[in-house]
Amino acid sequence: MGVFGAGGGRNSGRREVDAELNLIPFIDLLSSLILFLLITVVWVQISQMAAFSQAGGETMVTHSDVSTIRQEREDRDWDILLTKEGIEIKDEGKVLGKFAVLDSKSAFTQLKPRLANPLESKISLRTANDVIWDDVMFVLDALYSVELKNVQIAGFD
Amino acid sequence: MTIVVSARRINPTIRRRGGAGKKSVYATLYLTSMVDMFAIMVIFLLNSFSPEGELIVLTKGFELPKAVNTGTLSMAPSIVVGLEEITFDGEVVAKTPEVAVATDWNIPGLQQILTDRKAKMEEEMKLALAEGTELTEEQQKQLRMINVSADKRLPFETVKKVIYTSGFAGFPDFRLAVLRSSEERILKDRAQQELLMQNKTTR
Repeated sequence: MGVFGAGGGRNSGRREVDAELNLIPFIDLLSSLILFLLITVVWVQISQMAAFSQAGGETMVTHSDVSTIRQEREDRDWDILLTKEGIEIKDEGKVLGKFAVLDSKSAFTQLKPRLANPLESKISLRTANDVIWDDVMFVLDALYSVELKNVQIAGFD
Repeated sequence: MTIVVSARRINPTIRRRGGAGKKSVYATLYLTSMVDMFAIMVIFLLNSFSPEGELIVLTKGFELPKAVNTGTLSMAPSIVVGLEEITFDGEVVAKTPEVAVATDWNIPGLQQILTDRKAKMEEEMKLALAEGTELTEEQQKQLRMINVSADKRLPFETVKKVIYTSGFAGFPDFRLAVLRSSEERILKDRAQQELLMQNKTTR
């Protein structure tokens, strides 16, 4: 068949480095590859936001009222209240700042040094019912950008 | 009226047969260019090839949120929360507008199907294991995982009900589907959206 054949030495016993390529099977191969890849290609690449870490296998979204929030107070470092107006960052009830959703990343970057152990800090992202999902994901993405990944999503009434 | 004569040979590779002026139907193909083109196509398609395949099938008009910090989507049961309906592995389980107005957090149709799936998955995994062996932590984690794809325009209240129901049915490990994007692009999109909203309100 001889698809690839290294040319033999013609003069002085030196082997040629050029190889001959039979174009017909090569084009066939390329065409088959293109066909296969065109059929199997997934044009839209969907990724995921890493899942929220779970403790005890309980769901992260809980009916939160004042009493449960108080009970869980020591379990988290920050409460981030997300409403249509923007975000409010609280540390043990003390308001650290209020920001627009678009400024979330800069806000987290600015306030992160206040956390004793940022990598292990627990953040509770409490979201109002009327906030659109895009905003929730935007704030979550901003938290992930500054390496605050231990986030729990909750609602508030 | 002027009669415009077209150029004699538009493509230099199209040859005339003999001197009779009759055009040949054959054209010379430059193999080098063709092989180059094929190679470029193969490289491009290989680059966009995803070994995971299509894990989530989204309906027309569905808009996923965009994010920068993302991971690879895992193989897990999939809930798609669209503006019109909520589907689980392609099967419609509830109507989104009905879920949005419901006072109860639980979505009965979804919970039933999720509980059944959970039981089936546990059974299958136990069958695959040798008798007497326990599920490893990784296998248990696999059993808790669920992909949630929600339209970005939905209110949190609706998505919250879906997440609550899936957590209650034994899938508390959520993977939230997003489209990978750059920060600049996301900010640009959001600025455009806000501008549109402002225009709407001023009208």
